[in-house]
Amino acid sequence: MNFILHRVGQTLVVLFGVTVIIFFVLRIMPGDPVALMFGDGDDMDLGASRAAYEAYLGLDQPLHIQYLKFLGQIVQGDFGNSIVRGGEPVLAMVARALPLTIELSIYALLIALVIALPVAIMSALKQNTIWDRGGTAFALIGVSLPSFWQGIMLVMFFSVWIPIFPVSGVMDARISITRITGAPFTDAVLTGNWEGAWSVLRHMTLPALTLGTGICGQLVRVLRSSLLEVKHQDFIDAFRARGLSEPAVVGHMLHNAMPTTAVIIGLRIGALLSGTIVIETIFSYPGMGFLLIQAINARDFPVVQGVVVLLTAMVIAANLVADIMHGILDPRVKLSGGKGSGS
Amino acid sequence: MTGFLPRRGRPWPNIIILLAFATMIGFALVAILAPWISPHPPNAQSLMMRLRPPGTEGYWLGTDQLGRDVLSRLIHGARLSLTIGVVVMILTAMLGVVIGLISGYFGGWVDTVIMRIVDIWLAFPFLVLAIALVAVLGQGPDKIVIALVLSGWPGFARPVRGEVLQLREREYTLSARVLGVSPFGVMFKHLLPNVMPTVLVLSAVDLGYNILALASLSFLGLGIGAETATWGGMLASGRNYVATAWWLAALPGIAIFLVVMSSNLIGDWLRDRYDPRSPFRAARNQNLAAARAAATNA
Repeated sequence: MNFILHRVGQTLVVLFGVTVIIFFVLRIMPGDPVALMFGDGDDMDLGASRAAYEAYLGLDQPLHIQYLKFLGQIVQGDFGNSIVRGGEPVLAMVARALPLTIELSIYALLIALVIALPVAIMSALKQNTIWDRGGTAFALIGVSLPSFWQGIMLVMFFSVWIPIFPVSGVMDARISITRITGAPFTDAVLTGNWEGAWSVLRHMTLPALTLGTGICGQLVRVLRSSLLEVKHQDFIDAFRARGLSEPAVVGHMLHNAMPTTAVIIGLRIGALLSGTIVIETIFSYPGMGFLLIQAINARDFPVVQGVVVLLTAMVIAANLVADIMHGILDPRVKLSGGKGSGS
Repeated sequence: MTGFLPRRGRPWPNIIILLAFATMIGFALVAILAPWISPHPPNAQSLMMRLRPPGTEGYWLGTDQLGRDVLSRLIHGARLSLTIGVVVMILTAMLGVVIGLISGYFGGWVDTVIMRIVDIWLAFPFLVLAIALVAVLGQGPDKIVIALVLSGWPGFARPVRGEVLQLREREYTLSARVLGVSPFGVMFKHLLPNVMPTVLVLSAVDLGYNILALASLSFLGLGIGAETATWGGMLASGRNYVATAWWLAALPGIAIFLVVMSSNLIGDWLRDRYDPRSPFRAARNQNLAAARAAATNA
C-alpha cells in the first residue's frame, strides 16, 4: 500500500512537471505562436490587432500568472478552444478522436500478440537453432522497419495490387453507426449493426497491421527472454517429469512469462501512441495523431497543447498502472521503489 | 538469468555484423561524397522524363513526378539524414553524459532534482515531444537538431548516472578525491572514460532512432522544407503515386530500413561486448588487468 501511495505521489509530481514543460515549451521558446500566426512577411501593420490578440489570449500578463491560469483551466478540464475550427472546444475534438485511437491500438495489440506468441515460443523452446535465429531476425526487422513505409507498402499490396482493404477513413460513406461510446466498432457491435462493424474492421485492418508489426518486434524480444528465464526453472522440469504434454508445459511457462511481458508493454505504451501519430496520418484515420498533425499544420496551438497534455497524461497513467501491477506481481520491486531511490 | 547468459556470451554471427558495419560505412561514404557521385543535381527537374521506372538510361533508379533523379535525391537524402543523425547523437550524448555525471557524482539534492526532471521528461512520448518542439521552433535542420536533442538527452543521463553511482565508490575515484582533484577533474578524467562503453552502446542505438525520428518528422512535413531531398519527404510525396510508381515510396524506405537496422545490429553487438553482465566483458577486463600488471612489472 505504501508502495502504491509512493508511486501515485511520484506520478502527481511528474504530471505537474509535464504541465510546466508544455507551458514553457509552447510559450517561451523562440518561435512565438502569435508571431507564427500573424506571420512576418505582411505589408500591413498588424501591431494593434496583434496586441489585442495577445491580450485576448492573456499573453500580456506575467508568466507565473499565465501558468497558474493555464493550470487552473486544465484541472477543470478546460483545454481552451480551437483557433481554427470555429472555436470548437479542444476537449470535444479530443473526445471524438480518442475512442478511435484506443480502438485502433487495441486491435493492433491483438494482431501483435497473435503474431508474437508463436514466434516467441518457437524461438525460446528451440533456443540457438535456426528457428531461434529466424525469430530474433524477425523481431529485429520488426523493430527497424519504418512504420510509415510499411503502411505505404501494405496499401500498395492490399489496396492497389490486390484490392482487399480500403485505403483510408473509418468506414464506408454509405454506412452510418449510431453513436454510443464514440468508438465505431464497439458502437456497431452494440447496436447489432454487423455490416457497419465489418466495414469498420476492414478499414482498421491495414493501420492496425502496420502498428501491430511494429509492436510485435518488441513483444517477441521481451517474451522470448522472459520465456527463456522460466524455461530452465525446476517446476517446469517437474511438470515434464510428471508427464504433462508439451502444450500444457508451454501453457505453464506462458503463465509465468506473461505478467512481465504485460508490464513491459504497459511501460512502452508511449511508443505505441507515438506510432499511431504517423500511422493515422498515412491512413487518414481521424484519431489523436491525425488531430495533432492537422492542428500543427493549421497552427492551431490550443489544440496542439491540449492533445499533447492529454496524450502524455494517458501515457503517465498507463505507466503508473503498469508499475503498480509490477509491484503486485513481483514483491522485489516494492523494496527498491519504496525508498525513493530516484529512479 | 539462466539460459540467457550463454546466448550473450556466444559471439554474434560475425558476417551479419560485418554487413551492418559495411552498410553504415557505405552510407557514410555516399553521404560524404554526395556532390561528386550523384549523377544529377537533386532538384534538377526534367518534365520530359517524369515518373520513369528504374532502369531508365541515365536514371538508374527512375525519376519522380517532377522528373528528378531518384538516385541523386536518395544520395543527397543520405547526406542530410546521416549528418543530422550523427550531430544529434553527439550533442545528445554530450548533454546527457554531462547531466548524468553531475547527477551521479554530486548525489544528494542535486541528484534528486535532476532525476525528477528526467522522470518528467521521460513521461513524454519521444515523438510527441519532438513534434511539439518542431511545431513551435519552426522549419530548418538546426531546429530539428534542437528538438531531437531536447527530447533525447534523458536516454543518456539516466544510465550514465546509474553507472556513476557505482563508480564513485571505487578506490580510484576515492583516491583521486583524496589527492585533491577537483570534482570536475574526477568526473571528466576518471569517471568519463569508465562510462564510455555504456555511452558507446547507447549512441549506436540512438543513431538509428534519430534517423527514424528525422524521417518521421519529414514524412509528416515538419521541420524540413519540401524542396530539400529527405528520405521521409520523398516517401511522403511518393505515397501519392503508389498505384503508378512504386519505386518512389519503396526505395527511400529501404534506405531508412537498412541504416536503422545496421545501427540496431551494431548497438546489440556492442551491448553484448560491453554489457557488464556479459561474460565476454569479464574476460576482456581480466585480459586488460593482466596486461596492465605485466606492464607495471616490466
